[in-house]
Amino acid sequence: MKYRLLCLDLNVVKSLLKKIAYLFAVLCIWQFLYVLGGCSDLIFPTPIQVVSFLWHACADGTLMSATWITIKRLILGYSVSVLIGIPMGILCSRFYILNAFVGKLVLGLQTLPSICWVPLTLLWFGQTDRAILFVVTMGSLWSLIASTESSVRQIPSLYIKAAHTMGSRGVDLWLTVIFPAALPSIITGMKQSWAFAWRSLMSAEIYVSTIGGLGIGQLLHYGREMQAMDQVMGIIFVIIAIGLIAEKVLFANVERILHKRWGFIKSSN
Amino acid sequence: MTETDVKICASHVSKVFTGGCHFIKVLDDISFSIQTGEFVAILGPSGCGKSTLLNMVADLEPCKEGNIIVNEYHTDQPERHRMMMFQEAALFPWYNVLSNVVYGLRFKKGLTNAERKTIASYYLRMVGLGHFERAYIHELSGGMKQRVALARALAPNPQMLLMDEPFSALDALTCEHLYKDVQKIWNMQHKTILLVTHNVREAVVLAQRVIVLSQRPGKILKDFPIQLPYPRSVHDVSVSALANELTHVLHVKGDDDYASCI
Ligand SMILES: Nc1ncnc2c1ncn2[C@@H]1O[C@H](COP(=O)(O)OP(=O)(O)OP(=O)(O)O)[C@@H](O)[C@H]1O
Ligand SMILES: [Mg+2]
Repeated sequence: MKYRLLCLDLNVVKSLLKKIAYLFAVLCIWQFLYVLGGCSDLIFPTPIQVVSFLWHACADGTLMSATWITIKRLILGYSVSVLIGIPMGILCSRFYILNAFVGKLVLGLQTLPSICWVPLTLLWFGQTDRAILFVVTMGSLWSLIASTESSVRQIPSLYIKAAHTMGSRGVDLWLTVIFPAALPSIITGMKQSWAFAWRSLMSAEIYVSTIGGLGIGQLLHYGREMQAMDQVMGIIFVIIAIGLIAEKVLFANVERILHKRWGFIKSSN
Repeated sequence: MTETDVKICASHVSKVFTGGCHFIKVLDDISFSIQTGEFVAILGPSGCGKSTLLNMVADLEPCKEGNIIVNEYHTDQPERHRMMMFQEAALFPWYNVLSNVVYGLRFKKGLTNAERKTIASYYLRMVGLGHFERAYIHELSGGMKQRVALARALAPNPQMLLMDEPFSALDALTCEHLYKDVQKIWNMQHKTILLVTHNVREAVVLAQRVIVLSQRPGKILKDFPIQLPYPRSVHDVSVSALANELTHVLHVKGDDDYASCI
């Protein structure tokens, strides 16, 4: 037992060391390119500048508060999408008329890049937090409705037949069979919709400067305005990191549980 | 036998599917009756409408021409006194094995949850899967899945069991085991069983009576009693002889049908 724990520890340490070495190599190449290219700091910052920006931004708390504001917006906007989108998708799959009506609308709006909502939302809501939330919701809602609708519609009719012969009807059939059968594919749709929400939020934050507080996207925007290239680069890394962490913490775990139960082959990781 | 012993009575049942601009006549004037406690097999070539007929008995498919009376009532909804086994196991992967068997018991009145679980595990042990209660469905082999499906169909103690080629996807050895299980269960509980199959031997091994259907549109070619003593095995000589005879019926009459089609 002790031996196995040790082994595990060694493996973790090994993979961590590998990652650090990899990162270090990338930074070295970066610094090398900087020396080689000889361009100005305004266009291409050194890794040291970027790291020191991140360090200072962390130390004075701007980065933390901006991250917190951004994540709050993301969760709020995405929650609205989920709360509307999933019931709406289910209703669409259930009622033919609703689907004929809403389906086309959804299809059209889904293809609209979310940044196209920005002019409209600025006119409607002005430079407010609500404008940002609106863009996030518009960016993620339609794909969620469409994917939920098709997830429910595509469940095998055999499940429903079997449940029928065992006496399940109506609400009970929905709760015990239709919804669980569609769940894995609904989660996939939610994951995609989350990615849309995240992209929409970044577009919105770059274009809408609100009185509601500075988010990550706004830091990026001001970085450009102040020609602070180290800030722009540093924030880009933070954005990537948030995206990755959300993916790993939120969806990877849910998918692992689904995988264990439903037992289908997982495509990634 | 008196009238009240008739469990399933089909009279002049026909079925036409309309697909787009064409019609497919699937069943043609089918009439039969099945007594309480009888084990009947419906045998026919692939695509002759066996599943359709069984679905109509289970009320999963509407019956517009002719009528089917089950248990002396006009049926309009599938109920728990008729359980069905499908060609695929149709188990729910979001539940474990035990919960799958409990599922059919949820609507049985006057049982506590603990009692439902006890009944479910009793039937799981009966089909030899006592150790797999906590397993998930994807962890089982095809044969084990069909056993769970069998346990799930038996657990609510239905008066009638409808089976749609439940063993057609399994290997010969597993089939033999399951044939034994089914005979044992039928001997113990004397349910009315209606089994659909395209496997002649399976029909002969299991059933007391075989209803032979023709090519599409399915008509009844022959109502064939099997008077062999139980328990039977696929290796019995008498079973082989009867199976040959039945195959002959299918071929001769079936070929006549082909001829009339052309
Ligand atoms: N919902 C449907 N709509 C149109 N045609 C159908 C439908 N269901 C079945 N059919 C047709 O009815 C015919 C009989 O189908 P059925 O499933 O009853 O065959 P089967 O005898 O069970 O065959 P198998 O042994 O291969 O399972 C098939 O030719 C099929 O094309
Ligand atoms: Mg069939």
